[in-house]
Amino acid sequence: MLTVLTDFKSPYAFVANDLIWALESRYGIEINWLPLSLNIASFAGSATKTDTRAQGDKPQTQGNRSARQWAVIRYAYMDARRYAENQGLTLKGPKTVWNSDMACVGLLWAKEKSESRAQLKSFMDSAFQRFFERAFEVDNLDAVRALLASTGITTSGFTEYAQGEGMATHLELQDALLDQGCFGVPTFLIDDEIYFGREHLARVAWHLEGCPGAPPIKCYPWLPETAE
Amino acid sequence: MRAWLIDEAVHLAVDPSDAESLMAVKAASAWAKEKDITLKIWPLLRELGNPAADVPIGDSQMERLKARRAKARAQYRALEDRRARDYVGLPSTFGLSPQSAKALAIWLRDTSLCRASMAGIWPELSEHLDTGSESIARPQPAEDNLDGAPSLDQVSEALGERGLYTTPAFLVGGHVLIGIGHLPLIEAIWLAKA
Repeated sequence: MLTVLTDFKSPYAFVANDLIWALESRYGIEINWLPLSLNIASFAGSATKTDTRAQGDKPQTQGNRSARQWAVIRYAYMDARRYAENQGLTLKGPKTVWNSDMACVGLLWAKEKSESRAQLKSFMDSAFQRFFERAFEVDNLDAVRALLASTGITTSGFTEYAQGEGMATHLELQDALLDQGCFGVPTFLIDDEIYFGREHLARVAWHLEGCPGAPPIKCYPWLPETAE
Repeated sequence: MRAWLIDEAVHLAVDPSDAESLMAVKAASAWAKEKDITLKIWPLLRELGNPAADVPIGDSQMERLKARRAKARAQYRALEDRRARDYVGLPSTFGLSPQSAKALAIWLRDTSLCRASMAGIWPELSEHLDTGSESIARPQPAEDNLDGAPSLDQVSEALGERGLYTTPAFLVGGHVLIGIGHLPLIEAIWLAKA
């Protein structure tokens, strides 16, 4: 059983999403996707960018990030963007630090209600792509419900679920995952091992193949340029 | 542009006392040899530290969350350290004294200055690790005069100016890449430059 922890607001989970889904067809497995909602303010501070260019002003950024936190954040987006572009994906940096609990509840719902793996993948693809196009508010119940509907997943009962049992389940899961030692995304749980980061994809595949020989070294997949 | 940070090379910044850095040296030096890529390996002795420590003190709930996350992260780092030591072939008890780490840093700096490339350097470096002592020999300069070598602080400062703030990290063609996993992208950048 391969369990993968993800969060729709993480640029690294975004660029890993398609690569992880490819494991399903390659190995004939069903990944157990679980949401891990990052509390970014707890480890990287908070920041909000206010765009006032319409008034002729420069964009203003407010928050409590230190210089070294900004260095890490700026590198993370620069790094994720080059890998996103390599996959033909658009990655715009969010203008604020989001709480993605509601979108995570949407993932739990989609797992339960999807009629096929393709439908679940469609929901996840859309959630990531729209968020990083700044067209999906991950903290908004109506936006999550609309996204579910747009991918053909029933939304009958979703509002009650999201405001009750679904959110409670999600928050309990966050506690359990942290107790298990999981703190970032994407994280892979396989054969009693924990791997944090998509650089471990080859090693996860090695597990799925039965651990033949020496484990492969960390590697961020890079798609070769195709001639036009 | 520092003269020793030449454009015609892939630069790898490492902390010699860190297993993840040593894993990067082993993997990158074998990769550079196989691909015929010019590799320079420099000691970076000033890390950024833990940015999470800069988060202002919050309410008790936030502080509990921060403490639990820090514990989980520390446990995971220990796990990754074990994996790196396994890859490099180091015992679980491996650890360089500050003096040995500094000696190894000087050896890396001087060898990078003296040689055209550090591709394939791992077997030689691992012999020094086996000694784990302060007696790591300085390489004999080929043509360069080490009297003019930058100090370890100057090396770290120059790497920092180029955006390398943690280890292991690569610099190639003006691109900064943090972590050992970027070798496929580095190869693509290198080939595009050629």
